Amino acid sequence: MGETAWTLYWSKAKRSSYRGVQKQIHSAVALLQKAQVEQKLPALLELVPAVNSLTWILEPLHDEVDSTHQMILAIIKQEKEVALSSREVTLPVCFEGANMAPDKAALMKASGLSEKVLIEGLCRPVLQVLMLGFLPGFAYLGTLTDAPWAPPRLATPRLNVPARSVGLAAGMLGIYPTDSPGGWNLVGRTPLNIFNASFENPTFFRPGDSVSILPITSDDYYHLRRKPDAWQHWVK
Amino acid sequence: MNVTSIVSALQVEFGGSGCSVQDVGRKNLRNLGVPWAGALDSFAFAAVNRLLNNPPESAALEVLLQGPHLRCNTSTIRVALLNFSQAHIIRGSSHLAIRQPWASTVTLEQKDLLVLGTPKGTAYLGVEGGIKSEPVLRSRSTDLRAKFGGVTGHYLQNADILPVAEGLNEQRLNTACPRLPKWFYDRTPIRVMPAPQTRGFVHSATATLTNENWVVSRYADRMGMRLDAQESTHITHKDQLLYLQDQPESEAILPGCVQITPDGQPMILLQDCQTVGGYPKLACVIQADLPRLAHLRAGDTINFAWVSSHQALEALKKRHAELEIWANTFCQIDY
Repeated sequence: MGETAWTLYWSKAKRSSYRGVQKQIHSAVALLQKAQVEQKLPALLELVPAVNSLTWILEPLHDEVDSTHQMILAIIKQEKEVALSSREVTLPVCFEGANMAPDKAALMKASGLSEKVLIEGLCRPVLQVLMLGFLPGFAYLGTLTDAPWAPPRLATPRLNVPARSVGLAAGMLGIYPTDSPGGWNLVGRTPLNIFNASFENPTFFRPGDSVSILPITSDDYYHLRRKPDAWQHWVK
Repeated sequence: MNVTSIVSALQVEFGGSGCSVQDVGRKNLRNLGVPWAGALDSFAFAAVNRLLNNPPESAALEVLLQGPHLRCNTSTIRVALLNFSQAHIIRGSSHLAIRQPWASTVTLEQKDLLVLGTPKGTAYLGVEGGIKSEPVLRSRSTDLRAKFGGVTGHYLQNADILPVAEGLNEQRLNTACPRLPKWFYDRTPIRVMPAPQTRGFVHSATATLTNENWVVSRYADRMGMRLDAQESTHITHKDQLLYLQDQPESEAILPGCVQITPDGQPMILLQDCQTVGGYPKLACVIQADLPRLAHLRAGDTINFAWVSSHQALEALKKRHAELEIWANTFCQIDY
């Protein structure tokens, strides 16, 4: 991509098998980050994992740009599945009320599922953080393959989605870190702030995390709103 | 920084339009979705710091549309102007025009009001020692979309305060330069290289990009600029720039990428662009020509030319050389 960036794609696996692809991508990222810390990749600027790809951005005029690039390719080729330090994260989500879950009713109608079945189905699978993007800290969690939980984006995006809204679109679950325009189907809200620029590690989620959704009541929600940055309680 | 500890500052009496604190940007956080931000013309940003002999990463004020009015409430402070077309100082009852507002430094005295006009393109105001707003995630750049960094996370507003270092080097003469650096005068086509999806477009799309005269639309900001075709042709862009494959999965994007939206409109991503995106990319603007994009405004025409990686790297070396050549033409001036 231009003279500074390279993107490597994992084979066009079906959505349902992204779990395997993601494992490989995040293993590669873990190995590369280790090499970066050990200063073996001096020309590396950025390492950006995504759904089925990994992009690295290099300083194009750095003396060691070629050797850095070759080293990155060699590390990825090792295909060594490191013991992933995959963090286990619980995300509390309140699914109650038209205010927090304005699109829930439409999804129930479209699928013919009861509220209970819809929410249980959403909370059952352990999801993975496929990538972060769109906004600082916005996490794309996947993969939701069954139709009721994989609606298309809204035909007309909302001009303002409230911060911490939880949405569904295109087989993924996303969480808005701040107020923003957005086109995902909003089904709930988390009491946790998922981005805090004043923290050394500013995002609640990191690429590769395993995530379980914990349904909570609105009473729990308002209780947990008092400690929105107590991330350590939710990460193992 | 504790607000009460700010003894030296430039007080914003009028915020202008499109003014933000920027530096080299926020690096190595794209995996967490944090955009670079940073100066749109990174070479001009380096140039304004060169005028002041500042460390290269010192934060400066970027002006996109209209310059601010700044009151000096410190003893003396040298500032540097780059690419302004007019500027003056109101000192008591006198009115001092800055003679070379495109590239010069000037020493402000206490209570001076610096009045910066409307630049042609993007202008930078550097401050001796750099603007000392609080760094966020290791950068002072303003992230306008996530609203952090800079002074308040927003474009400069009336009554904001720009903290600066205590007045330094009061004896030093001021510097000026007869011309702007060379890339400000470059009118050759913007050079591009292939992007990951280039081959997925209809075969003639690469030629359409270079043959068409494009116009910067009014949908342009620090995140990106949308382009319109100048001539209304018989075939719509949608056909000319048709992407033949399935929409790609979201993947990393970066400043310079030329995305094609489903309605066939090119959009060049700039410094504040998000870190991942799903639109197919037809091309990438080379690093050497990213600074030139900073100075285009709605209605300006833009053409493209394809180059190789080798040519892109040579062009980038040339930009660095142009900055050095320009810095060798500094001369001292005395007001």
